[in-house]
Amino acid sequence: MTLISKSIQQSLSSSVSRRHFLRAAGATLALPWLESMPSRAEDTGKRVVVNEAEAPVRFACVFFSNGVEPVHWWAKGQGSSMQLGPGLQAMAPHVEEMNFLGGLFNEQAREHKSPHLGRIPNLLSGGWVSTDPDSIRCGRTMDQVLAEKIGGRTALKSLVLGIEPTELRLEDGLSMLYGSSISWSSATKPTTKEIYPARVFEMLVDGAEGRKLDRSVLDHIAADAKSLRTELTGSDRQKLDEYLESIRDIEKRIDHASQEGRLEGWQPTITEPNIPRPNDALPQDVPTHMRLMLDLIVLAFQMDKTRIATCMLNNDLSQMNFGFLEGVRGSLHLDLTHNGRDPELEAMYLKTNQYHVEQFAYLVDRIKQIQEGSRTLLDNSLLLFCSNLFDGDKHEADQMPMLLAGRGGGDLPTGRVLDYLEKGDDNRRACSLYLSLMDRMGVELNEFGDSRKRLSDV
Amino acid sequence: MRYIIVPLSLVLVLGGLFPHPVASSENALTATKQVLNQYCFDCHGGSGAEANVNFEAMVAAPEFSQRFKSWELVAEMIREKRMPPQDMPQPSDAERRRAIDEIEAAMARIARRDAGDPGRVKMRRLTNAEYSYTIQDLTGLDLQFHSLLMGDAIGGEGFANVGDVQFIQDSTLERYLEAAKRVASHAIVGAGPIQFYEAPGKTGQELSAIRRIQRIYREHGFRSAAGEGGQPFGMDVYARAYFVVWQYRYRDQLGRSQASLEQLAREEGISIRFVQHIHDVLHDASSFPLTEIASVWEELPEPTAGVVNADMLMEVRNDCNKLFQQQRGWQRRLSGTVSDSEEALLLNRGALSLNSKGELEVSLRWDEQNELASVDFETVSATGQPQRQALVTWQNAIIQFRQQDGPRPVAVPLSDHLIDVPDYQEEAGPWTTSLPCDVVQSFDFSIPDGTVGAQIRVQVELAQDADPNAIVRCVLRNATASRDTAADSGEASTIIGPSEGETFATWKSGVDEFAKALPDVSHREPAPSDRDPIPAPYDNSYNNAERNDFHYSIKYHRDDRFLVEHMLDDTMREALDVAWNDLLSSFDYHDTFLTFITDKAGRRAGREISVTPVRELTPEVIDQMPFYGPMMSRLLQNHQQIENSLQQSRENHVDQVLEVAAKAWRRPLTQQERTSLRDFYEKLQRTEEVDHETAIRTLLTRILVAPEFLYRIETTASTDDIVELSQWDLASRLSYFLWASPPDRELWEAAAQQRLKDDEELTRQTRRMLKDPKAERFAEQFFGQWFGFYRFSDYDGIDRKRFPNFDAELKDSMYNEAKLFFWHIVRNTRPVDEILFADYAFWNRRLAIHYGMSPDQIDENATDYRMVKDVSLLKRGGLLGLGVVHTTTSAPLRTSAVKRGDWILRRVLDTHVPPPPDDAGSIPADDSINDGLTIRERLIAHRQDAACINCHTRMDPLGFALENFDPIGRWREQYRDGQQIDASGHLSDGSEIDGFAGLQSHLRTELPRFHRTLSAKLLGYALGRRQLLSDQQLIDEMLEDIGNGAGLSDLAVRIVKSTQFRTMRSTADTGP
Repeated sequence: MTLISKSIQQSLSSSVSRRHFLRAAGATLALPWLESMPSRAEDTGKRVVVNEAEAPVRFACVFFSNGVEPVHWWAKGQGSSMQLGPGLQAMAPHVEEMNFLGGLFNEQAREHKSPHLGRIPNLLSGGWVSTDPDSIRCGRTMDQVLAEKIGGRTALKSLVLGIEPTELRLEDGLSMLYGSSISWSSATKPTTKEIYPARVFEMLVDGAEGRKLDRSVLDHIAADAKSLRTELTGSDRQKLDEYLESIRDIEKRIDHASQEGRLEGWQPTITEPNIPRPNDALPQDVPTHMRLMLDLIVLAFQMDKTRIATCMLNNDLSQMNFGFLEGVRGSLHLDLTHNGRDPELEAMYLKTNQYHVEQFAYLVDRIKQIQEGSRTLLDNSLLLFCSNLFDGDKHEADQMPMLLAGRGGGDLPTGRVLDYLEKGDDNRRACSLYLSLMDRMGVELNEFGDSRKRLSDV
Repeated sequence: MRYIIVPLSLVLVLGGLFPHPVASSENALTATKQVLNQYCFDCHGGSGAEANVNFEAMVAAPEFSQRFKSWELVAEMIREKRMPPQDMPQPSDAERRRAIDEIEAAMARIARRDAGDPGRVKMRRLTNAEYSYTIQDLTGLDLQFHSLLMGDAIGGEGFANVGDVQFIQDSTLERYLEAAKRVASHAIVGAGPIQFYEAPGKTGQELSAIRRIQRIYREHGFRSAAGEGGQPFGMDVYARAYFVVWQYRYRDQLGRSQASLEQLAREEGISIRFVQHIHDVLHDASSFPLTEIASVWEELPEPTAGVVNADMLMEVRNDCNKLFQQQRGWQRRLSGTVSDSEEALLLNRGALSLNSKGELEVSLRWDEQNELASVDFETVSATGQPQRQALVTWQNAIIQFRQQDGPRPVAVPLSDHLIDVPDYQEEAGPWTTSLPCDVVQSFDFSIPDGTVGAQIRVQVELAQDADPNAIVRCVLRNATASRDTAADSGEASTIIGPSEGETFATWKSGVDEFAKALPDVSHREPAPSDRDPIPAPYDNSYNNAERNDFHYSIKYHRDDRFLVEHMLDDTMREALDVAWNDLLSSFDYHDTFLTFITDKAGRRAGREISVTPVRELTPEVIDQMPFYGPMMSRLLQNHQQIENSLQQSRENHVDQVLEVAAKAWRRPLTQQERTSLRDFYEKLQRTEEVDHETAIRTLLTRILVAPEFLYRIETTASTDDIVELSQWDLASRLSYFLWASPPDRELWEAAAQQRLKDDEELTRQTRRMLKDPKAERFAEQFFGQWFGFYRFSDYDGIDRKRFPNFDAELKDSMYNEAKLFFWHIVRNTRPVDEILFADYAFWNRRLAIHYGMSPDQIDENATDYRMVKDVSLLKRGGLLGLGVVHTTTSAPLRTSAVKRGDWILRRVLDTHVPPPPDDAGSIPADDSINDGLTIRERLIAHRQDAACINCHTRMDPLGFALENFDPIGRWREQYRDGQQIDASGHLSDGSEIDGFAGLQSHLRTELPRFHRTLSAKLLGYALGRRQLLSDQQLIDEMLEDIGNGAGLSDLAVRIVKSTQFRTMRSTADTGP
């Protein structure tokens, strides 16, 4: 390997197929010193398989707002004998597949004056929320970093879901846009959040109908191209013929739809959706809505339409009404979170915490049931469950309530209680956790947010 | 006797009439052949031709046009005595001279003969960058196709826009199909013309609509309070309207007798309708408090005829502003009568009520100097009329002091601290005072030590025995004289009065008039927040299930009557309606609302009522509905209006898509094409049964994956060999050359009017386009590809563990450094030599520090890129000082002098450098050496080998000159192991190069070569092919231009006006 060809390789991304290289060889090889012929084989499939026989790792983050009742959020012990505080009861069947993470924090959240909106956009980014009323700025979140780096391997780069709409009002002079998003595509743009289950379903299932329309498009082009062809001569006509042949190849593939995509290596467990298409309207009640969104995440992972998902169960400062829970009256933020230590209200707040945990347990359970070869989908996943505040009443951001379920490809030890609270600020940054998680997703960065090192033990 | 039949051709040949078919005597190359035969064929002939250079074959079939580069090389080798190798027999100088002359003459002849030939240009597809830019120009969106599309290959003179190296197969087309569908998904197919938005689908329609609405509201409306913690905006329109109406009133005196109200409003830059409204209000005011406002306006000074000066006008403006403050005062006070003072009165008009009691609280502050503080009690009429009978009792005045530190003391009666209060005896009860209307009473009170301020609270009540119908305003005011004037006025007021009766009714109706005429909000927020009530029949109380449900599922409510009626012009009204239609049709607004109303009606009526979807709603059903019939009726109407609006706009959508098609295909569509596309749309709806929106998106997809979009097709009906390009093809060439994007409107018009046939027009367009911001794309693509940094964000040839500093921010900064530098050179038509020798650079803070500027020389607040001058002091400036160059020419762990030298020779000086022989050996990957030899010493060892000298004496000194730049471009004096860096070297001709400055000096001697390279590269990029012998003349002209100080703009003009650029061969395959 010479220095010269190495420098060529570095400035090229090859797209020359051997087939066409050989075909055209007659005309081109006559010229000497043709430095421009790249020698790498072309990528022939839409999707790049990471490791031929292994399922890819998936990442999801389920978020709930306004923190927890601190006294009831704890875990002790390890493995099957791990004990959980009352807030976490619903996760009892899954203690062996999860890690309890305590004491992680984002410094930018802790230092920010705005007790709500300054402490949520940095949940997954570690960025500083701008207080300039004329601009929206925080930082790109780790799920969108993943989406950019590896999202191209699936039909959808990522799923960004929620239950409550993006709110556009002001709160303490800052836009509620900050409180309506936990995923940011760039420092200045929150990722568009989808709350309509039907629209999400459509994104996942571009299936048969989509391909039918593709065929119509290609048919029409091929028909019109006939007259174009007569206007071209020689190699130009040849180029058009290449194009037309590509159309024919695609049509053949569409017609044999079951053979579409990869022919070897890992296959997703289903290619068609196994739930009916949801109604166009928003679900009538919160429990149905939440469940449906989580089902869609499971579907997306199963069909391998994406490997990255976030879901906001409620917006920051949410006034979500939990009246559907027995014995609960009132709205999440003002009534229940800021309960002034009134025992009756505290009990109701605890019930909302438990309800959120139940949603996560539902997701974990469904994902655990799905077999992928010798492992379960849960073994192949990293499921993060968290809120941005710990004691919601005090807007405490010195630590965050977090659970991490799944074995991230099989070798992440689970069944542990990991408490970083006393380990010193530099050793308990949430962004360190994200660096470790991103490693397992195949994206290795030197630094992210406010951390330059991985979290120990993850 | 036997006759020998001699063929006629042979006779003629022998007679010399027909030239010998093999080679004309002109191209006989006799001298060349002799030299090559004698001195070169041994190695470079026969079956084992060294380095694949076969002179026997070349001499037999010279093919100068095809192989001119090779022949140039032959001449160069002979001229510079690089061949034959030193240890072989050498031709004499005369022999060398003869061969060189022969070759050069032959080439010159052919160059002259074929000059201007457009050459073989294969049909090109858009490169990835061109594709992205084209989509950006079509839709306004940067959709980040980077990872979706396949990478480009490099060909021709080293660029991606060369047809020869572009191939397509089904997987490529699949990606284009996906990209096209993605673009189509971002189209808003709604109640207005087709437009594109950054979020796709129905969600995108919703978000786009709400953005448009908010923008119109923000730009044309006004609000005194925008949500919780929000800033007021647009309120200055009032003072300015007062001023305009004043101007109109005194237009004669101001010397503007002919001016209309409309004209004056336009000059002032405010809404005409609004000015008209204010004019009407001021002239028709008939109730209080409007009458008060109008009368103050009436008293604005009359200008003296002929005396108009800036000072006088400014004074009137100030007066208008004061009038507005007065108006604001009324608005605030009156709001206070409804709920709280931040809520807008207009929104609660009709809900006005009064109380005969009120409470006031004011906050005071004082300096250390003060020994006394003062407070005023004032009663003032709130009806615009004096009210002699009104009497207000002020009672229960308490004061709570604030200390510097320590807990807040308790509240105590104010009377405990009052100084000199007449007629007060404690035994008689708590202190009160009575104030009739239009009276102010001041009270001084003492200040205890250590206090910095206080809160004072007092209750006011209408005295029952006085006029019970009095409506008065009570004001509690801080009257303390203090050096430190606080921002707020330290004043609180409230209006008290009866809640019924005629006086109240009259007053209320006057207040309602005022709220309607001079509101402090022109519209409700479309997404109601704390400051905006949500519509009936939702329960408006804060923090309540129904209210939350509204926010969650209905989300939006429109109430902007004032804005629409009195502020927007017709165009804006229409745009706003379209946006609202888009918003409410992007989700099932009406059905959700209907469901809620039906449920509520059912609950109130005590029975279950089934929900009828809006599409099935009939007047009969509505009539049966208890309580909310009228509301349902309004919903139905709104729904029908939206449906009609959608229906109407749909009729235009196909036409609009066809306009997009013309822009996308870079030419007008033929009638046949238009018909065919329209038929496609209709067929989709008929046979595929898709709805309009899907059909439109599919039509867009069809357009964006068509060959007419993906390829730059240049056709001709002519059968001549060389033919002029059509105006559209020429416009496309021009814009993809100078912008890497499609033609803009101006260029399009020029093509439509056939003006691009004219030299002057071409020159004009070229210069215009290179000054346009889009020329940045040219700088990026041309220089980026020529110098190899155009995909720098993907570059990972540096070991991050060794160089953790090389992070995304640094990479980004280096890329921008290069891009801005070249864009500067293009935009400002800098002399081309500045590419190499510029004494300036474009750095941000990160780069400045990275390159060795001391932090105290750098502006703390500099967040952007600045032009830094005199960078030669830091050994920077020009191409070879760029970080991207140092980085891409290094190995992962160390620098590589060979790579850098080679880079300079090939890229900058377009010098052929053959690959090293297979047994050349290698240098360790790292520069920490264990055997005592430096890299230099190892390379020198190689240079003593005959097989290596030829190339390395030319390469290494150039690379060593840059050795002070480490693999990530930082300046260093030593290697990692402490060895001193020696940046000197000797070239084969004996000249020495030492360091960066030495390299620059050397390059000055090579300028002719650099100019030639630049010209060839620019031409190659513009034409999408290799340089040909037939381009010699044009290149020579460009070199002459450079000699006369030309910049890139001048060279581009030269190229654009050339035959090569403006013509094509009718068959792309043939060429000289």
